[in-house]
Amino acid sequence: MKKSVTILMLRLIGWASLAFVSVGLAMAQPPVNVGVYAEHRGGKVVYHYRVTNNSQDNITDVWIGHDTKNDNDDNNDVWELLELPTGWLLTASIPPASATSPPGWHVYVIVTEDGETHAIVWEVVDKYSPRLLPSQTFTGMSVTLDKADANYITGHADILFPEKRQKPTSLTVPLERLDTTPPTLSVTLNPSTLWPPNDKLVPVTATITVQDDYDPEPEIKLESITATETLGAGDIQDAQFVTDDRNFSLAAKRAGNNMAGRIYTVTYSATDASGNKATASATVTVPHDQGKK
Amino acid sequence: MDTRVQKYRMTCWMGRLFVVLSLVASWGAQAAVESVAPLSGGSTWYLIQWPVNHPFASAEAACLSPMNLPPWLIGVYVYVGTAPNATYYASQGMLNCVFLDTRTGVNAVYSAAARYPGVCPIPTVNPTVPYVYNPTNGMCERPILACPDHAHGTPCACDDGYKFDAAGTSCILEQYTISLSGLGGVVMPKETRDAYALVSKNDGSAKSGAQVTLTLTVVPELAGQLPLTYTGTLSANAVSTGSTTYSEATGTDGKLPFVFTAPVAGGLHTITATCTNCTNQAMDTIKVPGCSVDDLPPITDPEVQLFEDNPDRSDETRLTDRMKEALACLKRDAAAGSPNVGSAYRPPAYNQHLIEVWKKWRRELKNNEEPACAALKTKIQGHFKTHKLKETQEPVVGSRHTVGEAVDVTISLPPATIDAFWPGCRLYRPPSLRTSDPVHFIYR
Repeated sequence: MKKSVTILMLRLIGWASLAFVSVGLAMAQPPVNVGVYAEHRGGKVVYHYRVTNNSQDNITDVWIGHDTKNDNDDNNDVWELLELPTGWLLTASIPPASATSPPGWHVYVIVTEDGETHAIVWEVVDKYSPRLLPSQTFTGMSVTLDKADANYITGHADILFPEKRQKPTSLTVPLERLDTTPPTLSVTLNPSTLWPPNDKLVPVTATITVQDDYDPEPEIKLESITATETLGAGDIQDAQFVTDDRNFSLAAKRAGNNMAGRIYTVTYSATDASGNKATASATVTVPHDQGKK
Repeated sequence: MDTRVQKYRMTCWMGRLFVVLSLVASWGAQAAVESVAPLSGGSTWYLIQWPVNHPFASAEAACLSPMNLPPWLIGVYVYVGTAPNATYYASQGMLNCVFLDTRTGVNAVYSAAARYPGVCPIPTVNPTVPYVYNPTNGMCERPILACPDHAHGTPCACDDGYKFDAAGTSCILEQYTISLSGLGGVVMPKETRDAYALVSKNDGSAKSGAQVTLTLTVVPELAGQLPLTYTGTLSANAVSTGSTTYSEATGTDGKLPFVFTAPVAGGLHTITATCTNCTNQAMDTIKVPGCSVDDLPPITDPEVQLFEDNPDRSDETRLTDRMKEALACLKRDAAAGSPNVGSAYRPPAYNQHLIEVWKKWRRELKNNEEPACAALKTKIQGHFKTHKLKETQEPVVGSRHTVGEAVDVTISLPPATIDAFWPGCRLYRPPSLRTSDPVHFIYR
């Protein structure tokens, strides 16, 4: 009897602990979550922001690139966006082609008086605009830049709850990178065998297949071409490294005493706009001979 | 018949004892008499006497003492009701003084010493003029007396709101007390609170029909607002139109229910309740929280106040020497554009004030649609405009103005011409601000 009571008490303690942990986890949820992912589109980089309101108050402003440190000290505010994109005017909204907003919201730039740093701000247009209500998620906030700027994805979001009855009425949260998975990348080279080994340059074409969960057009770069033999000058021609170069020429050459032949290894990388990078390689072989199998 | 009583026990729930201390002489013929029926229901009167040294209980002694009886003999006539074992005794003149003599029970051992044909009640009005039993008509009678002020009827009855005084000779105002329930604490803007006023008589019972007047006063949280925005209302219910006063009579339960409706702006509301014949006034408060945004702190720095009073104040004397030279150069070279310096050196404390104004407006009030914040919003927006601040440009700690290395200069020349003065005059317009803040020059 005593034993069963003890077991029951232990179970109760266990359940209570579990409940405590669960409550703790639930409480750990931040009042606001701002996720970000990026994609390449038409040669530009588009940053998408997804804001989820877990608080009990309405949100009217989302400032990207502003870190207040969540204190009342004006001295340590950080404006994280450094380079104002070309064509953006501070007296008007960001050009429509460069940004999107949820219905009833607009977007513009707030710059510091020194003109050297800024933040992108989405806010309600007026008092009739829909607020981001508790438990609601807004997508549709995006900015398009000519080139990638990591600060748009690694910085902070400053959220305003001006109608909150308790202070503070703003909260700075780190941006949560939604895309953390590298693209999947495969490379095939054609031809994959160079014969005869007559020292001539042979054009090689790379066929690349890439997929990413967020970025439809990850950035492809020819990273390197290496070989199992010491390469001579001119053995690799027309290869533009660190660019999306899929056509180059390789010398059909190999050492006479190298029974394995020469093996070129061509490596490409695929980097999605969120900065996740994958590499893949393929080989081109210059065999020693065409030995019978 | 032995009427001397050796021993008594008296209690307060079995008998009614009328004490007749003296026979009241007939009043003789009166033109008009007030008559009431004599007490009835009894059958026998007994004279009861206590021994000199009878040990009365203290309550009993107190009951008998007003009768001014000789201490050595107390004689009473006892009117025994129809149920001898449950007979109430009451001594005349002491209607509230009742006690039980157990000897009047079933086995009472003494008989009546006197029999009185009728016993009259003690008058409640003008009790000093007793009723006299009239054996002719079997009624208790006394002359009709003029009613005192605020009394009418036969017998006299005090008017509503009045009651007889302790002597029963005049009508005095009934005195009530009033209290408020349901108030206190906080009511959010535009919300309501049910409350009531309660009027009670001196004995604690509810007073119905008492005219209650409720008045509302308010101290606004923020000065300069329209009273309409910060004044709540009182009304009979949540749907009726209210005002700052509400007057109505209490119901049968002595209560006057009412509803307080909070205004949109904050303030401390005081509700005062008074009523006719109340000896007090009840008062309670309700706080309506105002805007959740604090006002700007007051300016205490006299130097900041100078700039505050004149936002266009330009202090070129505290520019750095190189900035003074640069500005002189610009004024000279751009003379054709009539350069006008709007802002030069800015004290750090004033710069901090600008930061506070900017943040107060842009971050806390611009998109704040709390009704209670409307007044503060208007005020701060005006402040924001006075300082010519821009929503898209935040003043920052460490502004170049605060170290005397920035000036705002209006020049009526084409932008390209203005920018051509740099680097000659070493005054530079940050490219990112050339559109939004074209007058801002820094030393470079």
